[in-house]
Amino acid sequence: MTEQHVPIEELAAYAAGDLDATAAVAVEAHLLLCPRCAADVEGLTATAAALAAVPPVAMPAAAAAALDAALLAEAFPNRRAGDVVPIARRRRPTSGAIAAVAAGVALIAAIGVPLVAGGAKRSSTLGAAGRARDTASAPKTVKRLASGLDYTRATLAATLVQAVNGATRTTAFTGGVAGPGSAKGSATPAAPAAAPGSGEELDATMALADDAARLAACVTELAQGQSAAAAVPLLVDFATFAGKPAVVVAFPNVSRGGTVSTKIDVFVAGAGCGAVPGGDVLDFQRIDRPAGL
Amino acid sequence: MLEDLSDTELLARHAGGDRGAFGVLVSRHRDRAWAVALRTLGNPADAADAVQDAFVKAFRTAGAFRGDALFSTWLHRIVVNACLDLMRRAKVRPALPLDESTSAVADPADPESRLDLGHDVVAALQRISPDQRIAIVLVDLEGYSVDEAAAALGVPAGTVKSRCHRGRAQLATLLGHLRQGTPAGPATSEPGTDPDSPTHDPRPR
Repeated sequence: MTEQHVPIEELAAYAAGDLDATAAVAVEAHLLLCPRCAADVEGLTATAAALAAVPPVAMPAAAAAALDAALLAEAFPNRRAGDVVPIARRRRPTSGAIAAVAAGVALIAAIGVPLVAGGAKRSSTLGAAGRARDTASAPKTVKRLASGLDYTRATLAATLVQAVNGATRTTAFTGGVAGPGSAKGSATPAAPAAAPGSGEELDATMALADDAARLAACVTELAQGQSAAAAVPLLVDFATFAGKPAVVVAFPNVSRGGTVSTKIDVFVAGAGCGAVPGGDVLDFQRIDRPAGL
Repeated sequence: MLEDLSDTELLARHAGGDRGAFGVLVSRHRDRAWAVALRTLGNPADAADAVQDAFVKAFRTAGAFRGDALFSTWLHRIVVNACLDLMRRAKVRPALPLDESTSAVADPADPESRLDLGHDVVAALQRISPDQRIAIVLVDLEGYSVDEAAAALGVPAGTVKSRCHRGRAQLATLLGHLRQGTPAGPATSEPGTDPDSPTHDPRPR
């Protein structure tokens, strides 16, 4: 019974309109006489419709964040002080970078760091532009902290919540805070003064905190590639990362359409941020925006 | 703004050291790359691996992109190859139960949504041969032209068409849409072979 039926793949080609005229006419002639093959063409059409009706999928946020982190690791291969940065990796000024410069200066204005005298005139012009852009989109204030907390890759989100809620190194290290972010610190309780090198580490971070120009350069570097709406950070926290001096900078996560998501993009930069190409980035994570930020 | 630049311009910026450029390319193309990988591999964990492998490779080899093809075609070729690599290394996890692998579909507890054709066809896709599946994902799900799919796959357009026809016929069988041959039963253990069909396509592959 099957010999006289049209092969199913040929019916599929016919249903897709991929047969040449001669072959299509032959199939059509057969379909007029063969309800079974005609029904199969309907079935193939239904299958094509089902395929066309499969809803589009978007990359889940977690996968997108993992992708960002993997690419960030590519962009910032582990670099130590003194490493040579290939020319190709050095960034060039771009329109994005200029927006970011404005944002960096706006940051200085927002967090009250005095402008350095030498660049004051140019900077204040840019700063005004940056602020104008800033206030035009949404009023923002940059939360400036010096928690001194020790962030790690695993505890970044929890530590950030602690910092936003006012925790500082002292409370964290005297065991007063029992959150997951301080578990490591509490497990090895140590007075702030007894932590080896802690004073120097914080000094190194605070040197960055006190140097407005470098801080602006740092934020500018980190903000590169962010849209203008996302280039002004929500928070700057002077702290440590795995025991090393670090500045934690959190940017809002803004989609291409300009929608502010419930996530934030958190950069952790070393003490070289603003002084070395690439911003001395130690870590990057996209996390949920903590309440209060 | 970087967002206003074309893919090719962004890639040139990236090759020139602009750190922001590649991120714009990623945000522009990752959902489509994800869709291709998810539908081809059948589960989110492998899809995440494949997309990550593909973008990292694209990041590293951007300098090799000559601009004689569309960036999206170039990228999808990398994505497709990443998927094939993953499958070849036989590391692909078994497809998740329907309700987990197709999060975009309605509540699986709802009997009506269980009959959703879109739901079934996604599961059925996992049961046809990888070559046919990728062709169908690109052409039927993602809406690429046969020529674009052929470029992404590195095969002639006729091959893409043939794979699509065979794949649709297989899917129609699996979905019980056909009256020819045996009604759709459980998947054939040997994907790519013609299941139960008494008729055989005489044309060469």
